[in-house]
Amino acid sequence: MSDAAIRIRNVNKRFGATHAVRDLDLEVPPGSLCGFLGPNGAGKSTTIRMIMSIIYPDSGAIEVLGGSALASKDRIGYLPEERGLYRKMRVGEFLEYIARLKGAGRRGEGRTIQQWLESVELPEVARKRCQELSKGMQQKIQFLAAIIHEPDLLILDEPFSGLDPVNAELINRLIGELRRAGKTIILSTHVLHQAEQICDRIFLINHGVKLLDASLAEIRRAFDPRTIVAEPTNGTLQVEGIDGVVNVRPIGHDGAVEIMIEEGADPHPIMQTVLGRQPMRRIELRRPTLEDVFVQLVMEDEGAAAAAKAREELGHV
Amino acid sequence: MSKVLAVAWREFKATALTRAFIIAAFVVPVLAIGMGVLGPALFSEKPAPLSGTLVVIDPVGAVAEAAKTQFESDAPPPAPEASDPTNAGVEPPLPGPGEPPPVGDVRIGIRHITEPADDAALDALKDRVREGALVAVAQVTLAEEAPSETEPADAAPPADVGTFTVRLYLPADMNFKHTLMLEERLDAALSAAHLRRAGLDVQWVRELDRRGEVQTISLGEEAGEDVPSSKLTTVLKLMVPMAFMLLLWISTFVSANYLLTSTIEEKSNKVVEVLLSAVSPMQLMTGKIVGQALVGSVLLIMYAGLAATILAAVAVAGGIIGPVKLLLLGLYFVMAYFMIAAIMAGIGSAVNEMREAQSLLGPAMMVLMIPLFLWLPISDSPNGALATITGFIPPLTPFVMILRVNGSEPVAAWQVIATLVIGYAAAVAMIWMAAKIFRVGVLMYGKPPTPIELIRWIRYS
Repeated sequence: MSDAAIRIRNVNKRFGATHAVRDLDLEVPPGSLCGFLGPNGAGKSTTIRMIMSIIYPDSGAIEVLGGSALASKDRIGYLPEERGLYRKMRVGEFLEYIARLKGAGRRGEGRTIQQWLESVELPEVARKRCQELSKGMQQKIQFLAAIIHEPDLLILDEPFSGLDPVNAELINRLIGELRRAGKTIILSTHVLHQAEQICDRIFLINHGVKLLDASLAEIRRAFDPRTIVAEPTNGTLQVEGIDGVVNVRPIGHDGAVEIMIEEGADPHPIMQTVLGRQPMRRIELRRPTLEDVFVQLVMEDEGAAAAAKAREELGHV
Repeated sequence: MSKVLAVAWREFKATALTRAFIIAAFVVPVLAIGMGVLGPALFSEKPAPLSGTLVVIDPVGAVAEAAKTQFESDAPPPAPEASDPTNAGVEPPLPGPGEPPPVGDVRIGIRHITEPADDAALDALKDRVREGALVAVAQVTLAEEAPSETEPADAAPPADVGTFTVRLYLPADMNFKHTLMLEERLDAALSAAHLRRAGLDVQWVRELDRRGEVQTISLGEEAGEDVPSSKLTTVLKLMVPMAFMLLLWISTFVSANYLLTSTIEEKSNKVVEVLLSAVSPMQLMTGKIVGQALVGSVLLIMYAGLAATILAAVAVAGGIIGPVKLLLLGLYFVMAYFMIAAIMAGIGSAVNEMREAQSLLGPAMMVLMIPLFLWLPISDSPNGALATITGFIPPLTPFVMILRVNGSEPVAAWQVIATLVIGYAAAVAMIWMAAKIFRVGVLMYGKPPTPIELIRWIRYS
């Protein structure tokens, strides 16, 4: 029995010559909302499909909700990236069918189909055929299909794709409600700023290898850009003679600049000195964005991968 | 298990409870039965009544006399026109004897013209046929023949018989049944005229030609089980194996084809991954196969069941098919369905659209068409090398064995048992392989795989 919602140990998966997932170790704390990030083809969907026991790993072990992935299937909600509906089926019938497949009837789940539809502001669509719904409406029905059996673990693969800002906010609110209800949620998305806003923890993989597994606070500490952003109200920024400043480079056309500071230097006295020399429209210590971290790690990994490939090719010559 | 049943029920509902299916499954058989009932009545519908005068130009008179006999039961035609110049030498038509006409509402009277008609007179008569004043004109000629020197004298016909020829002039729009009737009666009249000229009594010759028939009795395995055989049962013995094989072939292929299209639809709708989050690929595939088996059963009941019941009833009555053979039919049907369903599920999961499925279906169909081409040699010689060997090769087994067990010779029991064992083992293996392909295939998009890639998929999963 494990205290983690998901525990992945040394998992490998190959498709012919492609090593899709390589020696992956991952642990998802219960009740957390984890962002599962990576560029296209990184191995995210393969990992998620293994968690869902849709496909099986070649080696390694996956434990979900304290048991095997297959045994826990009814306790997992899944919104796949490649999602769809039966076009000619009525919305109510579709949701009933999915709920039945997920064993919701057996567990005597509380809400009716109509109540679920009302929760996503679609009270009138139960009798409509799925093909009659707009794309946004279909997205919400698909989201309902993932949560209708009230799972303990929810895996959402690109839940915001195709949604307008209003509906995206609605889904965001529902995710928040589920999180507050103590559900464990894994969110795979390319919308990094959204992940940054709502996730507790981030996993980043590339080429099937884990590059990052940390909380957001740990990531911010580890990837501190050591940069001060300053925008003088007039004139050019004067930083000559200030200890700890490495260089200054302009950003944009409004006179704003980035002040790069030395490793180990305290940014606060530097900021006070700059502010004392001339009036400022703004001055702030820059926080690392998830996008910065993502790009940095993936680019480094791509370089490392290219180098490894080159070494491998040279070795064969 | 409940998940498999849920998938099966949805599959059945989505396929069988649709307007198109209901029309195909219920309305078409009703129409077929309706045609079966109404068809004979429609085909036996009598043509419009035919009445009038048939002019027979016969200087000899033998054919005209015989024709009168042929048509004498018909009611009298309208009275001849007195002013008609072609009425010269015409005998008045015989009044009907008062009995109902034998062929439809036909009332033909014969006018016998005893003088040879020249071209002008013949043309005048033809014009009257075109106008509708006459039913037809028959011009009789007699060609005298010398007896053949090569034939023995006792085999040759009398020298003065000659050969009658009738040229029949009809209106172009005459009903074909009327045409046939006129030709038939004049042919009979020709035959009678020939016999009379040869000095033979027509009635006597007909009596002479009357004979009994060959009666065939199929001996049962025990006394008292003998069954009279007829031409019908002989034809049935030939056709029943083919009929049952077709029954098997069509019912399995129709339902398995639904499986193919529904699998492709789920894949192209991208709904399959949602389903796989709730059920395993094996559960999904099993549910779909079971659901479509139910669809196939409905079809079988509606289409094939009707035909099979009639066929089986006739065949059992004729001693052609016993209960054991019917049981074997059921066993081979289940075997065939699971084999074909496995092929369709595997292919359906591997492709993105129906068009792509055709290229993979082609080779499979070529193999499965073999029994259709070989039905005659297999059912004629069910213990021959061809039948025996192909009966042991899945997926041909159920189709070939249906032909064999209903063929002209009994098949050894050990072969039947062995093919059942091999066939069901092969069906299980095919389902297993299809599940492997299904697991990989349903989540694969893009270029459809080659058969070699399909084999690789089986190894992946």
